[in-house]
Amino acid sequence: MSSIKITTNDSQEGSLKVAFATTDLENIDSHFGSAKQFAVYEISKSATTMCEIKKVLEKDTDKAVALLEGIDIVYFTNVGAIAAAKLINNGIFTIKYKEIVGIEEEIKKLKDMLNSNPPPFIKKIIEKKAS
Amino acid sequence: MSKETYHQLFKKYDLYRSDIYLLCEEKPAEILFLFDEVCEELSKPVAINNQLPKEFVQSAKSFTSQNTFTNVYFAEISNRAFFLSDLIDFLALIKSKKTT
Repeated sequence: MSSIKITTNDSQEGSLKVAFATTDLENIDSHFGSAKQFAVYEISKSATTMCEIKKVLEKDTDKAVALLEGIDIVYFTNVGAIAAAKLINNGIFTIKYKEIVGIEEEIKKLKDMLNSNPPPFIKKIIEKKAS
Repeated sequence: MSKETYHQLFKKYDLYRSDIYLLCEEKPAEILFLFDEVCEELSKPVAINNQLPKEFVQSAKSFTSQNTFTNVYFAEISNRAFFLSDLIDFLALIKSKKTT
């Protein structure tokens, strides 16, 4: 496993760290277990930063979950039961999209949500990070 | 949803009913996938779904149609458990009404 940091930005206040399983860095189009890479974005009310591309070099669920340490939400097209349990137990929220969705489009929606009425658990994540 | 599917689902709900919150901690993936399956069923345009409060069907449709807010809300396993628990209670009411 390896991680390529594209930029080194300071963590934005009130932000979410979100990973997208993607083959082309444009769409959420990979199964968690077979994902070769995760595009990591930091999303706040005012800004979005692509901060990392986490490369998966070995097919190993435990290592893939460990690779996502510090991530709040991970998006993919599907996931196996064991991997799902491990992600949840590691405090990573999982979102499955059966149909391929554009990353940019999803980020915009998340950002709109942060600026309007985020669910309580999102508020908790943000509060926990701020403390 | 056919009557057979309805009864099968009810049995499944009933199986989890007593310890659905414990399952959240011990087997979260079961809640994750059970919720997915239930939403698929609730989204089907069949008569039995019309007997349920519209909030169940609307939430399920919103989830299966990949609404971001709904998907993010249900990324929290306990929110899935709340939904399933409420649905189980309602299904139990329908069932008891039919048998009395």
